[in-house]
Amino acid sequence: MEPTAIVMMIIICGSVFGGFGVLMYGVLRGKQDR
Amino acid sequence: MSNNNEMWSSRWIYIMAAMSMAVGTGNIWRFPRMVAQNGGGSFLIGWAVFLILWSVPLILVEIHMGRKTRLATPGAFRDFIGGKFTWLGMVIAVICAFLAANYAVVTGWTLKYATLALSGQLLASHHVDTFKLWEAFSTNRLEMLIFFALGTILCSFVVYLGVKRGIEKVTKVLMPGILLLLIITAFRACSLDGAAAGLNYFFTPQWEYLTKSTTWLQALSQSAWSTGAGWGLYATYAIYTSAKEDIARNGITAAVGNNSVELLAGLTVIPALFALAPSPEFIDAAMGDGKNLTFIYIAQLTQNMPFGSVTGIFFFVALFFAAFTSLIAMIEYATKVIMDYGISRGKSITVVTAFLLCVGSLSAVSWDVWNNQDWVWGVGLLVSCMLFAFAAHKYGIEKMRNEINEVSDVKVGKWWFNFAIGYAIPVIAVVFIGWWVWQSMTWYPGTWWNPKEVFGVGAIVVQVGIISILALAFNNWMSRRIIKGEMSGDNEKGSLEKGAGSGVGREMLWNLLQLL
Repeated sequence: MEPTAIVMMIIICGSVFGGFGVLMYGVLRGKQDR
Repeated sequence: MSNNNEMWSSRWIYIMAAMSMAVGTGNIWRFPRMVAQNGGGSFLIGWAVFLILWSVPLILVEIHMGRKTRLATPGAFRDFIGGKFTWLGMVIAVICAFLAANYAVVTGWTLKYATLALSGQLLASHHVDTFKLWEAFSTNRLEMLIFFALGTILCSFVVYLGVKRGIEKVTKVLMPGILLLLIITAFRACSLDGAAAGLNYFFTPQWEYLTKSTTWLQALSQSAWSTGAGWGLYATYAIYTSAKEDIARNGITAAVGNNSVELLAGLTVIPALFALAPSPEFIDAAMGDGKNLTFIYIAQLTQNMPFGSVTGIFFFVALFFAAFTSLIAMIEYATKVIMDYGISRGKSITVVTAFLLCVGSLSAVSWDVWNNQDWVWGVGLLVSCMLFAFAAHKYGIEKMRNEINEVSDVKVGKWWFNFAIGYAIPVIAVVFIGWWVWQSMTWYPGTWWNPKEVFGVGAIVVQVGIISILALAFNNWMSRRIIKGEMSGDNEKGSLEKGAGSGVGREMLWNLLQLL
C-alpha cells in the first residue's frame, strides 16, 4: 500500500473504530443511570 | 389515558437497538460506491465532517425530545413547542412511514438473496449468471411481492411483540451478528491478493475532489441517510429509555457505531472488487448502482473467491439483518404514532402493516414507483431534519443543550451544538435541497415541474405538500386526541388545546380506529 493510504487508513480506522471502542467501553463499564 | 411505555433492559441494549436502526442497506451498498465515485479518502474527510456537523447534533435533539416527552413525534412536537405545531411532528412521521413502505421492498430483496446464499444457490458450482438471476427476480412481480410481504409481516410481528419481547430479543442477536459477519468479511476481503490496490483507492485522498461541491454534497447525503438522523427514529427508541439515561454518549456511540459498520462494509466491498474484478470496466460498472453492485457484482465475486460460499452467506445474511432491523424501527415508529392516540399495540400494528402492504406493493411491482418514492421521501427526510432543527430553535437551543448536559457523561459544547443546530444545519439543508432540485431541473429541462416525472421536483412538491396540508388540517384534532406525555402538564402553550371543532370526518376516522 502507498504511504498516504496507510496514514489515512490509520487515521480513519483508528478514529472511527477506536472512537467506537472507547465510547462502548465507557458504556459497558457501567456509566449507570443517575 | 396514561402513557405506559416499556423500557429497554439496559443501556447497552438501547445503543445496540439504535445502531441496528441506523445500520441498513445504505451502509453496505451505498457507502462503498460513494467513496469510489468521490475521490476515495477525500470523501471520507467530508463524511467525518458531516457526522459531527449534521448527524450527531440532530441525533441529540431527537433523543432529548423522545426521552422527555415519551411520545412519538406528533406528541413530542406538541409538548415541546406547542399544540399548533403538532402537525409538523406528523409530517415527519408520515414521511418516514412512506419511506418504510419503500424500504420494506428492499428488505424483501435482501431476504431473497439471503435465502439464495444460505441454500447454496450462489455457489460457483451452480454457474450462476448473476445478471440473469437479478433480472429474473426483479422483473418477477409475484416473487418481488412475496418477499416484500414476507419481510414486512416478519418485521411487523417483531414490533407486535413489543419492545422487550420483540425488538430487544431480535436486536441482541442481529446487531452483534451484523458486526461479527462484517468483521469476518472485511478481514477476508483485505487478505485477498490484489486487495491492496483497493485499499489504496479507498484511503488515498484525491485532493482535487475536495474542491468539488458534489463530493461534499454526496458526503452529506451519505451521513444524513446512513445515520438516520432527523427521521424520528432515534426519538422513538429514546421513548423507552429511563428519565436519567445519558443522551450525549449514547447518541454519539450509536452514530459512531453506525459509521464503524459502514467502514467495515467499505473494507469488504472495495478490496474484494479490486482483487477479483476481471477488468477495470467491471469495477466501473459495479460502482454505477447500489442494487447492481450488491445483487449482481458482489454475488458474482463471491463465486470467484476462495471460500466464497461462506463469505457470500455472511455478506448477504448481514445485509438482510441490516435491512430487517432498520425496518423494525420504522414500523415501531409508525405504530407508536397510532398508539399515542390511546390505541392498543395490536390494533396499531394492524393498521401500520396494512398501510405498508398496500403502499409498498406498488413499489414492489413497479420500478418507476419505487424510484419515485425513494426520490420523494429521500428529499422529504431533509425536510424532517429541518423540522427537528426548528423544534430545537423554538424550544431554545441553549436550554436544550443544558438539559442534555445535565444527564450526559460527555458534555455537549456550545460552539458545536448551538452552531450546528442554529446555523449549520438549516443552511446545509437549504443548500442540499436546492442541489437536488437543481439536479432534477437539469434531468427534466422542460418538465421538472410535472408530478408524474419519476425524479421531478413536481413529485416532491405534490406528495410532501399533500401530507403537509392534511396534517395541518387535522392539527387541532391530533393535538387534543394525543394522550398526555411526561411533559404535557408543563407546557403552557397548550398540550391539549382545543381546536375550532372536531369535524365529522375526524370523528368518523376516530370511531373507525376504535372499532378495529
